[in-house]
Amino acid sequence: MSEATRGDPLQDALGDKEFLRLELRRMPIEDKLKVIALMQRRSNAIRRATGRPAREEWPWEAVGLGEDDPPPEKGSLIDRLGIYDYLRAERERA
Amino acid sequence: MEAIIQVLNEMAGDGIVADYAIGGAIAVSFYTEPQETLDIDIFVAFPAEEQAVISMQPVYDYLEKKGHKASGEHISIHGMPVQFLPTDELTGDALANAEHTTVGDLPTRVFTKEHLAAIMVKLQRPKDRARLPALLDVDDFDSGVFEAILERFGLAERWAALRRRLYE
Repeated sequence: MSEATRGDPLQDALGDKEFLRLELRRMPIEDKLKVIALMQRRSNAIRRATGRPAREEWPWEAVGLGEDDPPPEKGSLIDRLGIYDYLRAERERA
Repeated sequence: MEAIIQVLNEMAGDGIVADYAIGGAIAVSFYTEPQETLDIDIFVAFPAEEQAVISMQPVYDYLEKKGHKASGEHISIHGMPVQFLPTDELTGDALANAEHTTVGDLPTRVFTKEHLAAIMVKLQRPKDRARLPALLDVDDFDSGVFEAILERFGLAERWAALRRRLYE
C-alpha cells in the first residue's frame, strides 16, 4: 500500500486482504491443512443451507486439532483466522 | 500430514512403489494459500519389473495390511482420504522432476509449481481454472520452465487459449 492511499478504507481493506493472502501462502503446510479443514466445514454449511448434500470433512484430529492437541498460539494466523473458536463452538454444540 | 508422509516413505522403502510425489490441490497448497480439496493426491511409479501392469492393488493391499481402510477410490491414512494415482506422460515427468521438501522432519516430494500449472492447463476442469492464477502469481514461478513443459507436451496452444480466457 502506498503512502498516498493509506487511510483510504477501500485501499486499506484491499491491502489487508493482500497481506492476509501472503501470510496464508507462507504458512507451513500443516497449518494450511487446518485452514482447508475449516474451508470444508464452511462449504458444507452453505451446501446444507441450500439443500445440497454435505461432503466429507477431514476429522479435526487428522489435522492436529484434536481434543488432546494444544490450542494454537495466541496471535498466530491460525488463532486469528478463528479456527479454534469455530472448533470450540462445534464441540459445545455437540 | 507428517504421519501420512511417514507411511508413504515406509511404503517406498518397502519397495511397493519405486517413487511417489504429492500432486493435486495439496501440492498447489504447498506454494499458494490453502486450496480447498477433499483428498490428498499421491502419484506413484512402480518398480521397473511391474511397469507393464499398472494397478494400485499392491498399494491398497500393503496399506490395508497396515490397518488403513480403503473406501471407494480413497484409502484413509490417519483419518485423511488419500488417493493413489498412476502417472501418464505429463504426470510421469512431474514425478521424475518433483521437488524435494520436508514436512516436519520427514523428506518428501511435491510436484513443481510449473508442472502443476501445466497439468491444470491440460485438464482445465473448473477447479483448475480457479486455482491456476494463484499458482502463476507465486513469486518464484518460472514461466520459462512452465512454457518449456507446455511445449514438450503439446500444450502451448491450449495455454494460449486459456490465457486469453483468464486474462483478456
